[in-house]
Amino acid sequence: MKITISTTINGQPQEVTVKPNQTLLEFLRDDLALKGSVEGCGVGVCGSCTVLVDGRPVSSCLMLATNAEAKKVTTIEGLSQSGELDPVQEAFLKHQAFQCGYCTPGMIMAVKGLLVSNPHPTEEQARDYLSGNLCRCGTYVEVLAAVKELAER
Amino acid sequence: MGQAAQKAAVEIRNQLLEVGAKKLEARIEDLELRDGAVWVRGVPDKRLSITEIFKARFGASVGSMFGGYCFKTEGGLNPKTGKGKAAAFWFFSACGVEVEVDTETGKVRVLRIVTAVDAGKAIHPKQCGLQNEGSMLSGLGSALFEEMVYDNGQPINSNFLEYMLPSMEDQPLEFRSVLVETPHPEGPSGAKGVGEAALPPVAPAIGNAIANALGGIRIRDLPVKPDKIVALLNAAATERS
Repeated sequence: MKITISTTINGQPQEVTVKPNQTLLEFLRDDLALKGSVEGCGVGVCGSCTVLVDGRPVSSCLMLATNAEAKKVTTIEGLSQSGELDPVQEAFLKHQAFQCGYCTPGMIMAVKGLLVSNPHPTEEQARDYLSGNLCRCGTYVEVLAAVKELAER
Repeated sequence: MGQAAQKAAVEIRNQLLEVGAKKLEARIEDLELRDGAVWVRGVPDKRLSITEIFKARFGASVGSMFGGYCFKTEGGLNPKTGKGKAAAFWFFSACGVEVEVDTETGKVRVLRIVTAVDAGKAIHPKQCGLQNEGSMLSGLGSALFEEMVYDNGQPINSNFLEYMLPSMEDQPLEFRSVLVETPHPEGPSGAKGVGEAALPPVAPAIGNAIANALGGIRIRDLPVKPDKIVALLNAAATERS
């Protein structure tokens, strides 16, 4: 069985057919070939599959694709505008806020979500907000440095 | 291994130049290797691409050129002197931490971690620092949180909800790794492995800091979960009364 939904992915309004049991993450990766969002744990704990849904960060492994009906979904692929990297991406590069890079797409989307809801977060607010995004390489210090720079803008 | 890769690269470069010298009828000293080709210095159009060199050497554009380096240990340390070549290199590292222990709940919070690691030669200092930071956070995780729990042989905490990794909230406020550079003779350009060396001293440093905070109460069972601290504090209180 397939369900047709209207949704906006990275600024593109589209009608798509999804399976009722398909997660948003599976839909993005398998059907739209947007491989930037990655599955870490698959149970909404690690944050590596974070995407923005109507500007709020969501673990796309826990959301059903059908729930994207009438929603605006932004993935890491949709962050850069007309060839320019997003300021969050620039700040991550500048502070080298990653090593292996697996958590990075989710981490960047979570930081984006943080700054959308709170453009000038304190370090404590940032730690609290980002504590759902795990990084096994231990680059939290660099992520926090990137957030600090963005928060001071 | 870095040494082997470096030496192999030099040997293969020399082999390419040897073949190039024959084909270009030039002396090896007059050749240079750049942009994927062997060039005769000062003669802009006298060149042979690496593919052409492989064709000259193997009769096909593919083939294998070898080079290498072998380090032999002495099979272990001399039992009498305790000296010798038992490994290509070993690591030296040190760690200091500051902890805060809640004596009611037993929760340990690590406020500062500073490690110093002998990096040989830090070819990419930022990346060396990041490697060490990763180890420091892993060390913190294995000291305080991470534990595989089994029930009759079955792992029962095989997800990140029950197997706790350090998160951004556990990140110490001060978190620094100092690179100490003593060029290592067995490493490429004096470098040796970094990263892992920052891990082993973290748990002992945390354990010592906890003992220091609790007036000498020692915990020797990792990870240091709050219930273990509370049990030790209770036992110490019972002993005193």
